[in-house]
Amino acid sequence: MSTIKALRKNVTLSTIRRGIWDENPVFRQVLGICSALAVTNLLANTLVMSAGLFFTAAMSSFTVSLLRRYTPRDVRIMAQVLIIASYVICVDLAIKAYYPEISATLGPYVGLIITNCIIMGRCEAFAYHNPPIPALLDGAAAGVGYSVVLTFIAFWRELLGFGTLFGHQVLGDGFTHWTIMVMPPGAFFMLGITVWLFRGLLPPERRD
Amino acid sequence: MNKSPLYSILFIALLAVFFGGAVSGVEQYTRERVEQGRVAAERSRVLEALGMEAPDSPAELADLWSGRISEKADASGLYYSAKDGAGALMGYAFPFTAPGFWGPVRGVVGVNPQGTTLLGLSIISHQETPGLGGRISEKWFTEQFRGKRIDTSTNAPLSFVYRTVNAPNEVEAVTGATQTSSRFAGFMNPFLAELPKRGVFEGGGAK
Repeated sequence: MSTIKALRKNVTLSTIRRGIWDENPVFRQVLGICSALAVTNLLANTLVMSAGLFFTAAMSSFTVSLLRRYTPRDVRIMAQVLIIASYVICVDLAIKAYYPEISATLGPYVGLIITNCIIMGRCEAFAYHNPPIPALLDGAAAGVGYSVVLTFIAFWRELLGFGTLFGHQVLGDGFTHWTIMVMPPGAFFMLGITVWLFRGLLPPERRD
Repeated sequence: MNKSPLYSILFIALLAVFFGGAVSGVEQYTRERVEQGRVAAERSRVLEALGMEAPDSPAELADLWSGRISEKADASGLYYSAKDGAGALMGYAFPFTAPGFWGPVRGVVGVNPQGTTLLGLSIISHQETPGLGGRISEKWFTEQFRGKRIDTSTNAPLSFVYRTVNAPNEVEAVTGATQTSSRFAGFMNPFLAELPKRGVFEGGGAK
């Protein structure tokens, strides 16, 4: 009995570890790059976007998994898009209602979570073949993996670009703002550096 | 899983009904708040155009709005009349819809009671490219309009330039967004030139 429990715990941990580190959606699979570039100039925006993606990834995987026995193979992608889109629209409406300012700055990117390959990828690769609870965990872990990388990028972009963190001044007036960091080129630099750095932390045999 | 085509159609239809219903439910539930947020954002922009500080709290904003601003209309459309803290007329705000590169640019201009000087300009909504034309809604651009004289002796009261400004009627346009800038300038100049002719100014204006 206890071995089964231990095994389950082990599987759970490895699912989480896989989503956050081993198969991190951003720096391992290089998915969701468009939004990783677009919403990382301010930490506040990044956190709202990450929360949106976390919720959508977890709930979509869960729902796809719940319906997996009833979903015919030939219409499964249609069903997945429908499920993902519904959750994303709900998230978008909630942000519009409760954080109108952030909604305005995020613009179309929340809606574009619908086409984010991370969510679709987890639904198709994992949720469609696994029971609901592991699927929920798997989606959530992918969401956390995405959030961690984006927050890391946003931290440096906001700090160096505006001298602030979450809008609070941290660097003194003497600090010259690296304006390029909050512009699109800064996003490319930071993403490149981040992928390089995180991959460098992996043992050599696991690098591609 | 081999199912008949009819099953697939039925499955998708049921799924669509269920999730469509759920989304409609959430939309119903949040509609009022979204609408309130939209109105509050628009009111903040009107206050900014008049050179007034827009409070963050919705209750304070509503108080300030009902105490100081009244909505009016003339032959050319809706406008707002604003009082200062002491109850004296401090200016008018006129909403506008200018053409942009990708879609309409909605905004407001604030004008002093004589119709001679701009109190400010703010952008309510636009569909321009973020980071390029979208910069027309940024403070560095909109703040330039504060205190500009509306000279009606010319049909171009403002001059939009792609360099550092060096004359009082010059405004620095958004570089890298020539389409947005030239359309905006092309609309704004005749619009401003016509403003002092509106009923509220009783034929006044800078002569």
